[in-house]
Amino acid sequence: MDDVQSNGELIACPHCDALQKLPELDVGQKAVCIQCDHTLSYSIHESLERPLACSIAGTILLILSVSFPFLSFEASGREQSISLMQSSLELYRHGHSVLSLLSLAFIVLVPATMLVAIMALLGPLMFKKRPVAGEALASTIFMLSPWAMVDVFLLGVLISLTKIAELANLIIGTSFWSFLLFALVFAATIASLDKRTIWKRLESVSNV
Amino acid sequence: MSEFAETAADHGLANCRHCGAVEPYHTDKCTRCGATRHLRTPMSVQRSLAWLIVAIVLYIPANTLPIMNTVQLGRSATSTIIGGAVSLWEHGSYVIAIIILTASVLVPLAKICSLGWLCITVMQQRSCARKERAFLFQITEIIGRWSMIDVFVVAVLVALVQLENIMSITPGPAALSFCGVVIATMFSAMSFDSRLIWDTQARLEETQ
Repeated sequence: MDDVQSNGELIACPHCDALQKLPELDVGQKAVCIQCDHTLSYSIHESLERPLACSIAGTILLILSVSFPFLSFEASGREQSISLMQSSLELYRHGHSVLSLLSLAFIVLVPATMLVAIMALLGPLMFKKRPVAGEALASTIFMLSPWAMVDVFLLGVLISLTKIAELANLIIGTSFWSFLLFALVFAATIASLDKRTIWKRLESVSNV
Repeated sequence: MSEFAETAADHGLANCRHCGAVEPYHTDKCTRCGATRHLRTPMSVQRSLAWLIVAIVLYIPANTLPIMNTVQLGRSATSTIIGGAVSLWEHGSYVIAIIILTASVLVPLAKICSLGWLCITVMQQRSCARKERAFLFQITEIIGRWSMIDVFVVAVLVALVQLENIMSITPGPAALSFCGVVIATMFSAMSFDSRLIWDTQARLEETQ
């Protein structure tokens, strides 16, 4: 078992526990489990720089998305305009406080926490420095990722727009466009983040 | 057994659920990230089934109670999830009706059925269709969050359509139950340790 442990490339598939040796991956390659075809790791060009750049862009876009009008609705000479946050917070006014909080968490709070954690983790890693509470940050990022529902919300918005488009005049606000970009950039951030790469880098700076 | 790959458990190893480090399973904590190490998630099937029961119970009010109330020119109307999809169909929005029906009715139902089946087959330690069950679990994990669409549609409509008597929309009690269904099925999938699909009786007796 000692010689097995000294080999750093030995991994177990998180889905089926198959023990296997991971070959060195070239840029653009991904490794799948020999037993269940689960993607174990993938290698991209600039595996730290890309998610870091995306997370910075994402943070800026998220700030823009919450600062300007998101959508406006006009019927019979009256207009109602909402921001991104209001699309969740208005539920609170109707007595659905739990639903309001959950919705806000899925759309804004969880993605924002993830972006901050990614920046705090990858920033120092890029300069080969040890990030503060790096292990906790990395765990948080991967634990939160199923709860970030930016893409689902975007589809929900598009559906609600088509539902009421014929009833009244809809005005698409500045924040809508920045949120659209945010959804793309956020998806790119997550897609460029390889769990194994992150943990290996974290391990290499911890041992120095 | 020879048709399957050797597992980490066969070698007395276990990978960390947080960071993927492979170490002897009798160590309490992961030396890389400090998370508690388990050979298999304790009580995985019981927890998964418990969340599934929560989801089934909530699924009933989610589909029978109104998800939103619409007041238009003094007339008030309530609609359920299915009712909403049916009226979209009648108005000719076939694509959206199908999206809503799939995301809100079929996907949660399919998730409940597939997780229930996975739990039962693992409890009975069946050896059939391992690869297919593993694939089913991966799909279940990925599509889970998309069921939240209808909740977001309600959130946006409630926030946007507030023109008092001309037209206004308020959330119904089914919105929270439905959100609960999605969250409970997500927790159910997270509690389920898919490595159990691949475990055989012989293996389990050896390692425990």
